[in-house]
Amino acid sequence: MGIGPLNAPGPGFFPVLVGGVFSLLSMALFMSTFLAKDQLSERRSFWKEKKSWRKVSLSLLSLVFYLISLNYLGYLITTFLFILFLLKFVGQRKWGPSILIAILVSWGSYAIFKTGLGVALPKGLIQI
Amino acid sequence: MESLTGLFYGLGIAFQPQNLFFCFVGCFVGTLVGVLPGLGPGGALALLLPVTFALPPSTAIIMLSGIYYGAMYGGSTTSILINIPGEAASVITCLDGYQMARKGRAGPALGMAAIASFIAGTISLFGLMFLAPPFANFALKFSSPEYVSLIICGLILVSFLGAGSRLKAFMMGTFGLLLGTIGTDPIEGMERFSFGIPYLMDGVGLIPVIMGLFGISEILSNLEEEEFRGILTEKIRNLFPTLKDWVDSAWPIVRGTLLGFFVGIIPGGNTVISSTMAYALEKKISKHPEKFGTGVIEGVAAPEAANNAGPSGSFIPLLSLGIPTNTTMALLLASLMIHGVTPGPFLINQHPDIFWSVIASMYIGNMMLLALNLPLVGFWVQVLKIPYAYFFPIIFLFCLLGSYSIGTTVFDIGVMLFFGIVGFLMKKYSYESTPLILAFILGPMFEEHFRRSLVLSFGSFRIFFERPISAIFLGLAILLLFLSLLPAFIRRKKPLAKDDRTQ
Repeated sequence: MGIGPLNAPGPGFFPVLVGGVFSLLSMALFMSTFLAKDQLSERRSFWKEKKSWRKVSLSLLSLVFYLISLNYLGYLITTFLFILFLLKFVGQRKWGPSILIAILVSWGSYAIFKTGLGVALPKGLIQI
Repeated sequence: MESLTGLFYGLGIAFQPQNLFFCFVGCFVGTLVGVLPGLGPGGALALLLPVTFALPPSTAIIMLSGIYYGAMYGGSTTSILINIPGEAASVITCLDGYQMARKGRAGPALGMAAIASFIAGTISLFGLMFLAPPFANFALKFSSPEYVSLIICGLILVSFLGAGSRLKAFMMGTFGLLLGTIGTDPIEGMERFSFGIPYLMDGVGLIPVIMGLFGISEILSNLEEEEFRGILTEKIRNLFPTLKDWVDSAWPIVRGTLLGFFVGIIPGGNTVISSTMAYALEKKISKHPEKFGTGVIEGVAAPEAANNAGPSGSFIPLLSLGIPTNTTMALLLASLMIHGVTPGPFLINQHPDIFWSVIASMYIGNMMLLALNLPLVGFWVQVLKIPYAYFFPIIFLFCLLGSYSIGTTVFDIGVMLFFGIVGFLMKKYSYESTPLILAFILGPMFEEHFRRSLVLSFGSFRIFFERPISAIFLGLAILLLFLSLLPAFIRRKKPLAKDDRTQ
């Protein structure tokens, strides 16, 4: 991938240029943080509250689950499980409303997006 | 006058039933998003972007812009009622709005917020209508070097005006440019940085990045907060401001409108900045500045006017130059590009239907919003009572659907997740996302113009300075860079002084 002469820049020109600027800026940031480290007052914790990490990580896990299962379980089942999990374990709602809403949302969104807007939704191995 | 004929033409299109319907949908969703704390217009636009694929371009933009200025109407509702801003620009309205509510004047506060928004929105549209065509004519003289300098200037300005460290903002802009290089090279078609992954051949998907950066990361941040339990002060009685309120607010509304409109035109000038400035201005020139913060109506009218005039202003660079000046405009640009419309000075001539129908629909939208926000306030109060737990799974689902539906591949969901985590970390460590997304969208265009300019000039960089318009933009950019560097030098001197004293 050539950088090319200046009067006919090649595909490599822009990435090298921008990358160079980026490296310079990172060094500047690194140095300025390094020089100012004696001025940093208190250590702020990463999470706003102690329990926060649970909700965030559970949500991330559920998203990863969705990513992995979508093509195997199909849209309806994956969405149902996804919403149910979030409502029950992250939102801490009761079983009743959670199941009901999970069903409503998965079927409703299926209807709107597949039939109404014509989006192709995966059927999964079970062909639902 | 060209503008008036254009407006009538646009009204004809805007009044078509489909456009009216989606205008209403946009305004409704916008108000909803504005009322609900934790989801802003940027996120909502990103979520509904895929919905607009099936729609004709004018309808898509009509709906999306409805969400944008609709959110500016709705944001004040929670600011006034429970002292929590519905979205970023409404923070200032909390100051005096909530105090007015505590004194039993929630009704007039809400009423004046909506009325100020309506007046500002409508007047600023006149500005848009009359300024955009001349701007576009001016931009017809632009060639590649001018675009290069303009984009550089814009990106630097956006980073300059952002909150927090400018160095970090510049880095985000540069990173965005780098991200934009992934995929096929715009001039020669060579694959770059795709590592042989076929999904990356067309570059990192714009929608998954936006969904991740603005949707997923937003929700993850919100999940950290303890759920708010707002206590509404009392039943809202009459919504009409008194005669004294009208008199007090008249000039603040005018000033707020002008301020908001012109700040909106500047890249990086967002509604948070303009509403803060409007409040500060009113306080400074007021005959009773000490009363600000205790519940003066000017403290509600001026910021609300400013944040509603802003969208009209920010439409000007987008519709006449094709350059977005803030995140929301970047999303609208993305929407246009997806529909195969390249915004630029030719937009008015090649797609007058889009240009004029969008402007016309904004007039209609403002009227719809006045109706939605005044008499229907009670409805929104009820909506506020729904726990967040019911909302966020649905928002997640929208993000997932949106990313998946582009290429019908789970890879895009992965991209979205990746940028969701990146966005979350960025929020934690105070890196701004606006420069990133702007640079990412403008990157390929920027590169193409940059390389073309160098071909035009036979390899010389002087072309950017020899052409007058380009030189002005670059000069401004260099000035801003210089201004950003100044604090770094001043700050470094202080530690030395401290050391001397302790020794």
